[in-house]
Amino acid sequence: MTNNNSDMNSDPRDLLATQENLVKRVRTSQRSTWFPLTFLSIVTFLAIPVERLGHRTVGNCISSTAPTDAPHFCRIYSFSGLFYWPIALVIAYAVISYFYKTRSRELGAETSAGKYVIPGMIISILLGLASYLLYLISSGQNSRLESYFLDPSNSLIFRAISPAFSICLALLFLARFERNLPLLIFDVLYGVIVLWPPVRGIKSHGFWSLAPNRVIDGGFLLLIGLILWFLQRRDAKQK
Amino acid sequence: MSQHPINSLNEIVHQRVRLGILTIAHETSRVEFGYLKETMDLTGGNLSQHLTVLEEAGLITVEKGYEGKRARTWISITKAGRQELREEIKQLKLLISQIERK
Repeated sequence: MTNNNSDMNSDPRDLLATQENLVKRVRTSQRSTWFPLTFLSIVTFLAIPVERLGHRTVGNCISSTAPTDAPHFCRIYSFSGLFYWPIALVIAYAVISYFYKTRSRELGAETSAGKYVIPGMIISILLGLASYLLYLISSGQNSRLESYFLDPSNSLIFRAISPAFSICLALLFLARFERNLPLLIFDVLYGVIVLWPPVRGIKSHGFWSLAPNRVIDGGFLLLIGLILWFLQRRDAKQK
Repeated sequence: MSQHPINSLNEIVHQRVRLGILTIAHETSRVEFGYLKETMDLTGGNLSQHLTVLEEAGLITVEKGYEGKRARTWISITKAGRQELREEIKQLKLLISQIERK
């Protein structure tokens, strides 16, 4: 039974434990991690036809820094992809923000996902601009810069400004916003998949060359989304 | 001589239910009456009493409205409420560290 008197004689450890337990309960009830992950996986899968069907530009093929008899390297761009990703991601973050607001209002514990969606939008726009800049540099006339960016050993730069890596960076903000340790662990794994050359180096040529990576990225996001959805449902049933 | 943390406690905040209300409100942009009642396992009357105390102290604001035909009461923590909550947690931690030192 509670009353209006202050608990001056209560054990402070007990009060603090109750307070911490409440914080945890509220944060857990507000989590909707499955939604951004599933939605971003759909955005990733949709990129496959967009990048395939959009106008494609083939950069000048020049030799790498290796000896002259070494194979020549070309960088193939999906011009439509350069525009698709920043726009699609900004729209996706707006939808995610609306979802969080609506869902938390229905729950009765309203929250704003601004701490995730705003950094997400900024990262998408900045990395989108960086991709466009690299496209301009590496599709221009022969130059030292062009040789540098066409060298496969420098492909980490392209992976680090890829849309998949921008999603990965933004998910760090979601993990912090939701104080979600499983998401943080999954996101680190996702980062490895996005940046690790053996995964990125899947041999594929022609106009579908980006598709295998998109399938891996989208598939992984969908898988994490489903796992976290299952875990959240299980936790909700146990309460 | 430094003041004992127990003397720095705000009697309004240093109460299990009111501390709980402020804690939940702090984690949300606004919280609904029904959510508070269910999460803290309180009766409506009991919760209302505590909300009145907090509102009169200027630590929360209460907003009543409708969503469709459903009446809803939303509670938001004020800036003063956030400060008092932070101070209460700080003093509780100080008290605990003093107890553990003994």
